[in-house]
Amino acid sequence: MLEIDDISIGYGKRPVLCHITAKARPGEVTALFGKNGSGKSTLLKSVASLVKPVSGTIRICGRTSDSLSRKEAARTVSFTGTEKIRIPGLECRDLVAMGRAPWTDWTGRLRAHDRKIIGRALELAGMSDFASVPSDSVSDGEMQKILIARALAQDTPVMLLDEPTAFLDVPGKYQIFGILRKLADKERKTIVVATHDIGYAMAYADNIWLIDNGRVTCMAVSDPETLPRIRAAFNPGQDAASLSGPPVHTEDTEAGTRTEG
Amino acid sequence: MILYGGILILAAAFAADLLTGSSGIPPSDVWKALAGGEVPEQTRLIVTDIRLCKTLTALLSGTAVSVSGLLMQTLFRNPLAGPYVLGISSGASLGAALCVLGISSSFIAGDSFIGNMGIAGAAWTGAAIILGIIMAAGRKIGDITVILILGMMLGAGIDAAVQILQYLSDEQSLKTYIVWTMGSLGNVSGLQLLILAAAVLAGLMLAAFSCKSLNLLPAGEEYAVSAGTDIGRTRTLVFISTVLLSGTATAFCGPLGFIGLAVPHIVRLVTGTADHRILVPGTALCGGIIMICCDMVTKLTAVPVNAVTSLIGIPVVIRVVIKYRKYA
Repeated sequence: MLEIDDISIGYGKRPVLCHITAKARPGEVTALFGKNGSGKSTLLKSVASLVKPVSGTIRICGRTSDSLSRKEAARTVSFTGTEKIRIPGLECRDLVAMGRAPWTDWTGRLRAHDRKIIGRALELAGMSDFASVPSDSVSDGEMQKILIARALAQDTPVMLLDEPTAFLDVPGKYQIFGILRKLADKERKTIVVATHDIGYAMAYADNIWLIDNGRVTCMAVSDPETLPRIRAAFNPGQDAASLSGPPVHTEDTEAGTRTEG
Repeated sequence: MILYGGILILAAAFAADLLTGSSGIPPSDVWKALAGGEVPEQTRLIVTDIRLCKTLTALLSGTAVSVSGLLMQTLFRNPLAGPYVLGISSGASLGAALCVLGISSSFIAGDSFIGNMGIAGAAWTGAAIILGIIMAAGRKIGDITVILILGMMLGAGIDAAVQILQYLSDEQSLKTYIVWTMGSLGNVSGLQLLILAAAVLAGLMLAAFSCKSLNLLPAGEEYAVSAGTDIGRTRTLVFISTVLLSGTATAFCGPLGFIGLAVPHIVRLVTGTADHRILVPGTALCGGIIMICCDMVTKLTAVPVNAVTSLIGIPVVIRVVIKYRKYA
C-alpha cells in the first residue's frame, strides 16, 4: 500500500507540485499522466526517496518514508528510471542481479536463494532466454523488460516505473503493460507507472493519477468521467479516440485476468 | 582461475625483472643475494638496494595508478577516465613540484620521513583539489565529454603553472624535477617505498570495500541509490582511495601516463566481466605486471618509463575509443 498525504515536491525551494494526496493499493496498476515537465518523474522519485519532499508524508506499507533506512527503503520500493543502460561486459542476468543488492552482504555475494529469485524475475518478465546475453546487445524493448526483471528481483511490494514504454514499438508497449498487469494480479504488487501512452494505460491500469495545472487528480479507469477529463487536460479540442495507443478498453490478451470494472 | 594465472605471471615477471640489468649478475648470484648467501658486497647492494627496490616500486606504482584509473572510470561512467587524462596526476605533480622546486634541495635529498611525507602530502593535496573540482563539476554538469575536456584543460593549466615554476627555479632543482617528470622507478628510496606500500595498501582496501557500490554505479546513480547504495559514502571512499593511490605513485615515481586508463580495459577484455570483485584485484595484478614489464624495457633500452607506458597505453585508448563510439 502506498499513501501520499498532502505532499509538496520539487527541487530545492522551487515546488513542482503542491498538496498532493493519492493512494495506490496492492494488486493495482496506477498510471500517472501529465505533460512533459509536469512533475511525473519528480513525484515517482519522491516516493522512491530519491528526492526529498518539501512537505507532507509518504507512507509505504504503513511506515513513513523518512522513517525507513536506506536499506529498508530499497527493500520496500523499486524504481525503474528512463535512463538507457548499456554496460559492456555485463550479461542480462548480472543486470537483474543488481536488484538483489539490498538483500546481500557488503561484498554483494549472491546466495542460492538470490539466484532463484533472479531466475524467477527473468521468467516473470519473459526474459529467461536472455539471461546469458550481453546487456549491451539487446534492443530497447528487451532492455526495458530486463529492467523490470531487475525491479522484480529487488522483491519490493511497491514498484515505480518512469515511462517504461517511451522508446518501444506497438508490440513492445503491449508486452510491457501486459507484464505489469500480470505482476499486479499474480504477485500483488503495488505498481505506479508514469506514461504518455494513455490508450494502453486505460486498457491495462486500474487507476489514473492525472497531473494537470500543478494538481493531481485520482480517478478509476472504470469511471466513465475519467477519459473526458484526461482529454480535457491534454487536448481540449480533440476526440478521445484519437489519443495515442490501442482502442480503449480492448481485451488484454497477455494478462488474461483483466476485467472491466 | 584467471586470478591464479595472473599471480603466476606476476611472479614470473617479478623474477625476470630482478634478473634484468646492465651489470650482468648471473641468476645464481641474484638468488644468493636475496637469500642471504655468500656474494660480493657490491652484488648484494645492486640486487637488494637497486633491483629489488625498483621492481617493488614498479609493482606498487603500476597497481596504484591502474586501480585509481578503474575507480575513475566507474565513478564517472567514462571509459576514457583515468588519473592522467582527468588531470589528477597533474594536480599531484603540481603539489610535488611546489615541494621539489620550492623547498631547498637538502630537505628533499635528505630522505627524511618528514621530507618524503611532505612530497607525498603535497601530491595528495594537489590530486585531491583537482579530483574535488572534477567530481563537483561531474555532479553539476553530468556530461562525460565535458568532464573529460575539463580534466584535460585543468591538466594543461597545471602544466603551464609547473613550467612557470621551472623557469623560476634554480638549476639543481630543475634537473631533479625534469628527471622526475619523465617517470622514474629507480629513484625511490627504501623509506619512500614504505610510504608507497602503506598508501597503496590503504587505497586498495578502500577500493575493495567499495566493490558492491562500484558494481551498481554503472547503471546510474538513481539505480544505485534505489538499490540501497549510500552514494555520498561511496564517493568519499573512492575519492580518498584515488588520492592515495595516484597521488603517492605520482609523488615518488612521477606522472605515469596511460597505464591508469589502459590497464582496466585490458582486464575487462581478459576477464570479460564488469564485476568489481574481480576487476579490482585483476587490475591491481595486471597493473603491477605491466609496470614491471615496462621497467624491464627501460632497463634494456634506457628510455624513460613514461615513454614506454605511453606506447603501451595509446593503442588501448584507440581501441576503447573505437569500441565505445556506439555509446556516444
